[in-house]
Amino acid sequence: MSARAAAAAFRPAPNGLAGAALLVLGWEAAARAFAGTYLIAGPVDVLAYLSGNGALMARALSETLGNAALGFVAGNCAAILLAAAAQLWPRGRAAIAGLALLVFCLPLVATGPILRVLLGPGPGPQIVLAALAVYYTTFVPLLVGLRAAPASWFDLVRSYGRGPVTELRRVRARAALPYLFAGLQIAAPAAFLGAMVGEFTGAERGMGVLTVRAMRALDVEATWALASVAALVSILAYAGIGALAEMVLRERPPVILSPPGAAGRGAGPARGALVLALAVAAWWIVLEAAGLPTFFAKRPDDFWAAFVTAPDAAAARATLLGALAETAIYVLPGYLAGLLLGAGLAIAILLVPAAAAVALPLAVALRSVPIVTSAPLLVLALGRGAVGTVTLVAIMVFFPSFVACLHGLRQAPGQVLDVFDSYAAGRVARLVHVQVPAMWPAFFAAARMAVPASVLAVTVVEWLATGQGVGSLMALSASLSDYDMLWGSVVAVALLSGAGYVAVGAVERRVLAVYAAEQVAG
Amino acid sequence: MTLGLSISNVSKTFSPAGREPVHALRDVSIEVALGEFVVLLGPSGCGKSTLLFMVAGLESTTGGAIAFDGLEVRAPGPERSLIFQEASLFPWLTVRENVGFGLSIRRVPPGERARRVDELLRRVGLAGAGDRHPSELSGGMRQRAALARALAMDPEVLLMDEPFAALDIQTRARMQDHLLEMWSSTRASVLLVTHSVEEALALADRIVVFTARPGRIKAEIPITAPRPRDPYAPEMVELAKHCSMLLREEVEKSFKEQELL
Ligand SMILES: Nc1ncnc2c1ncn2[C@@H]1O[C@H](COP(=O)(O)OP(=O)(O)OP(=O)(O)O)[C@@H](O)[C@H]1O
Ligand SMILES: [Mg+2]
Repeated sequence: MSARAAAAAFRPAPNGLAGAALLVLGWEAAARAFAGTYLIAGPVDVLAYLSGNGALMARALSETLGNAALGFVAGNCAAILLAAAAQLWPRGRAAIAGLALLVFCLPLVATGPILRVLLGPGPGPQIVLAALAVYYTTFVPLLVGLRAAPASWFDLVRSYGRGPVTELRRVRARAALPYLFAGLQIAAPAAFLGAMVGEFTGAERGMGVLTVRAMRALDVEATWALASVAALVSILAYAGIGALAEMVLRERPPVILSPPGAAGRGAGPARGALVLALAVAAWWIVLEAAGLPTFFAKRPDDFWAAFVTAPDAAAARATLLGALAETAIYVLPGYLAGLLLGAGLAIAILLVPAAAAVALPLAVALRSVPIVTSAPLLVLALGRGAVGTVTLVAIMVFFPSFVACLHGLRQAPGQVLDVFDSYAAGRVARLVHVQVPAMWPAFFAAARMAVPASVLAVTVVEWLATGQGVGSLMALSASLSDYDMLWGSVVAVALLSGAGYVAVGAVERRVLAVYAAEQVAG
Repeated sequence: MTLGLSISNVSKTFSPAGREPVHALRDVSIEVALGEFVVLLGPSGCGKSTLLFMVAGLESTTGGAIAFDGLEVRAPGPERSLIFQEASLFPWLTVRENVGFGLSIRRVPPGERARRVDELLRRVGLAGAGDRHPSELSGGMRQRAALARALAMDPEVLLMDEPFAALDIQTRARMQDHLLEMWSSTRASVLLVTHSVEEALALADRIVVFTARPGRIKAEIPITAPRPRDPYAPEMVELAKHCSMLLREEVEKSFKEQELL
């Protein structure tokens, strides 16, 4: 494969345009079919709205884009520094990666109001949330990329009498570039999402503020117009970084950005305990060092008191656990449905190669849409009940797993496929014996990353609309200044979503030990 | 003090955590005089690569000593240059940048670096390919670029680990001729690992045959015939038979051992 063709894989193929045209037509058709129900605004309505409210939209967009850009830079710089530190200090690798995961699992919706009281008014919280939304998806690929090089390259550097720092600067950094770009590509829409979530939870300006206002006013055109602009901006950012990668790189983009064991291997429970202890210490030290008042900056011991030792601790626990249970009821079916649909559709579409050629670029583009920013739209369309929430989670999980599975299926080793063809085995036999096993690593990588994503989706709708579950509990606690409950729910959600991630990782190890031993060996 | 490379009673045992220790080499002694071309021949796994890595200073010995010009080898040094089996060029650098990589790491100023790289590219016959990337080169060209990169350090010993194993037979023969030309113009010593008796006979002043693991020296065969050598000359055919026989004994031993495992 030539360098050009290889780099081109960073960008959706041109036949994605056909898919996009179909999508827009279908959207308009749906809008006409449901005309009068105030559910869907079609592309024509959206354009009409935009032409009437261009100035307002442009102001909001530039505000949100500015915050997203700052968060993007901050988050990615943090990711690069963390990955470099983990590389230069191998013994700290597991702890760094574990802490990074835990921070990534913080529920952004509730982190927003906490940051608001800590940082005051202004764009600070939105920027931090954007940074929090991006750093992990850059950090993990970088951890992998920094090691994705043949040993002889490092032997060569050592043979010039140089050590790990030169190795990192001259070889690893460059070898990791495709991974960095793949991470940045995912990060661009995620930063936009983070900034918007920050605006959902109490800012004065920006796309998120307009979105919440439009949703509350049941303004269908405005809601759809805002979601469309957010989607378009994200796709453009994704494509822009892809184009940049294509100009800079000669290598193929990596398929699996977060293989299991990227963080290094070690005893599970012991490492988990270490990470938790470090997290508690960091939590306490940061707040103490900043000298923040315990009224709103709760320390670990406040958490302990509120949920374990205080007279009303039992009630607080019951409230929190009840809310978590409500949320779990929505997350689980949505998560599973999204995963299964993603994998199932990827397999089905592989049997129809022409469909795959159209669907993949389209799905790649749609994956880059920050689904959460369209939550208000789904709430409008599907109502505030269970269906809307479960659907949102499912969509959130569907796109990344669909794209990952399609890539994985196409990764099937050509030689093995040739052997099957030489037996004149049918399409289905090929699929079952070669392609599906080749899909598992990508599938599980997506499944792991989808855990925090679906928790984010569910808490956002609960916060904005449904009045149920832990998201709603967070919103309520924020408005009542019940900081014990707010911090408590942040901690609980982060722990649960981290536990979910680890649990999926455990299943992954079991499965890959059978189907892809080389992935687990790292 | 002896000039050149002196490997005396070197042993190497790998002790991987939680597994049986592996005795890779035992009690190996080789003297390589200045400008001498020595070829190491032995069955797979007998420690040839390990020996080159120890000479390069990338791996420590567990017994014995390696010295160069009388000074003990403890770390890599510019007088010993290693060439890998796969060319291991950086795909993102041009040929010119790859050849100059070591010079730039050693902070040779750009002007002088460019001059030396141009000179090297000319010598290895890649003058026209300096601005290409490795993916645009044939396997033989890549290996010549790797040779140029190694020569850039002005080494006194070239350490080559199966440098031509990945090449087709015709390219291989051309590369051997080419290597001999380079060698006779630099008069560096060469320590080259190969699995091919023909290659050993075409190149070596002396062939060192290793036993199966743990690698020990089974035989040393000096070759005095002038180069270029005719492989079909009677005395070369005799030597080839002799070497093949020695090698076959050890290969069979190592196969037997593997089957027992
Ligand atoms: N880092 C290591 N840890 C444990 N064992 C090792 C290590 N490196 C090499 N060995 C073992 O030492 C022995 C010698 O390895 P070496 O690579 O030097 O063999 P070789 O003669 O170069 O073989 P080949 O001809 O196949 O390249 C082998 O059995 C190998 O498995
Ligand atoms: Mg070897």
